[in-house]
Amino acid sequence: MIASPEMFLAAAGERTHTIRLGTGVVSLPYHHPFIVAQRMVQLDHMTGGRAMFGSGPGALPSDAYVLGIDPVTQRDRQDEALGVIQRLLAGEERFSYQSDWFTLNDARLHLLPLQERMEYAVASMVSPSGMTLAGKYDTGVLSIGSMSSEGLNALPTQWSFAEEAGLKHGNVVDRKNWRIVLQWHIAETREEAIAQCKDGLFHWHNEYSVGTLQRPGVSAFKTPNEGVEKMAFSDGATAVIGTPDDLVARLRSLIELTGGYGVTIGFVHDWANRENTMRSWDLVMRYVVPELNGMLDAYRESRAHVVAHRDSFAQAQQGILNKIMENPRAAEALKKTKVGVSAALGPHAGPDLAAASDTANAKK
Amino acid sequence: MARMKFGAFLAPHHPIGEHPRLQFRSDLDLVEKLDKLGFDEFWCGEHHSTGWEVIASPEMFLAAAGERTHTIRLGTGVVSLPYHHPFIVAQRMVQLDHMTGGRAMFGSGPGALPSDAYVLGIDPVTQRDRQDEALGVIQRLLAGEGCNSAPTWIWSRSSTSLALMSSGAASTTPLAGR
Repeated sequence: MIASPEMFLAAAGERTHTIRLGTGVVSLPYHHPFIVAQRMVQLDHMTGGRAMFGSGPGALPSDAYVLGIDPVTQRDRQDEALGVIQRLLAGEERFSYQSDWFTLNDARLHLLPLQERMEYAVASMVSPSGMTLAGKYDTGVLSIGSMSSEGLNALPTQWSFAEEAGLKHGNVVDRKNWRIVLQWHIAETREEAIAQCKDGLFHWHNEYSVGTLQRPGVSAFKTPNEGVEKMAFSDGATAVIGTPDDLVARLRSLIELTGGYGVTIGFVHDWANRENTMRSWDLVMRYVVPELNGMLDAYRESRAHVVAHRDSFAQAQQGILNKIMENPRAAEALKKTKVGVSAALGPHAGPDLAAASDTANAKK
Repeated sequence: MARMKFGAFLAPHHPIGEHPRLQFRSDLDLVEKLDKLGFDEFWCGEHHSTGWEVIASPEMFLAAAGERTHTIRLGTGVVSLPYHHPFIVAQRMVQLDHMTGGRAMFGSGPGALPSDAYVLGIDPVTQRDRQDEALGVIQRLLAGEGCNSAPTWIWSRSSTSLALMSSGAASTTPLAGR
């Protein structure tokens, strides 16, 4: 129901501060490329340089039909428009371009994006066309095909299309700009995750994916449980329904399968209710992101280090205490607050106050 | 007689020299202030050249304004109809209306700046007729007129291309009952 991603993102820009906002995607054959370029410039300035320009040929045949666009032309038109938009956004000198579906006369944007180089991405399904465009125009990729088994398995070969096209056009595509879209629903336990989302998943799949879009190769689920099984727990499963650990494991295997990519994009759905859906996003940022990015490795190493050297740390503390006990007034005070001292010095091992007193006395 | 209402119209006409980002921020600040003051309406335009008229998409600007305001009504002043497919224009207005809680007003025009039409390859002589034609279609779409025929995409046997015939919601039948 979002007809204009730029318009939605402009409103989102007023409510957010740091998240980057991408069109995912603008269907280029539906618009004059000059207008598309200008909207992106406006969005970039309105969001303080957070705009990303994703484009595609147009996904829904019902959309193209209503606009009177022959589906056979859509891929070529995306290609053609993208080339023109890139020249416009680069601030090229005035140029003209005549196509069989649009005209540009002495065109140059009167305002360029706020960012020195706005990020581009093209949509990639299962065919190589998106990846080829990415190589040709040196853009990132938004892999949407990863939501189907065939698309998921095709990912490793997909990237090679981008690399080959890049080579042909003198571009080196960067894996950090490869975005892969995945579906998940995460909860504290696998059982909870399944219970929370299975009915919504069933409804979405049967009524929309199958009943409306008639996605090729997919058939209706007989029961919600069958849906969960097929989507998340079978060979070629594309979704993760489970715990943060389950998602971490899936992402690690996806990194291995693809040879590396830059951004994991969660597909937003209404499988669960709003509360549990928000909880799922919270769990992903709270537990999956730091784990996958190794942000907790140093914590774990530090803890292991402390445990491994418990004895020497305990000795150090004993040493500190001995030093304190050399002062008779401090020693007197410490005897009255023995428990407090142990707590203050740390939990590795309770320093022995009596031993410290003896040492101090012996020194005297 | 009913009380006079008051609004503001932002083309905008901003002198060149200021940071473009801050121009957009200041314009949004203005709408916010107008809303607080109690103005009834705010309009902004669509332009693509001159360096002074910096809003390319009024709907996009108004969608952001909607997040900062509560009661002021938000109008496109105006969408230049010959520059867009009427179906897309209609859908954007619907989206704006829902996003702003029913505060959208749809202003349209033939396109004001000859330099805009020129860049887009549009013959200025056609602009008035095209606005007329598009407005008729958009009005039918926004009225919820139904599609009364089945899609007529027909695969041609001799080639891979489709034969397109006018049909349904996007048809460009001449205006009736203007």
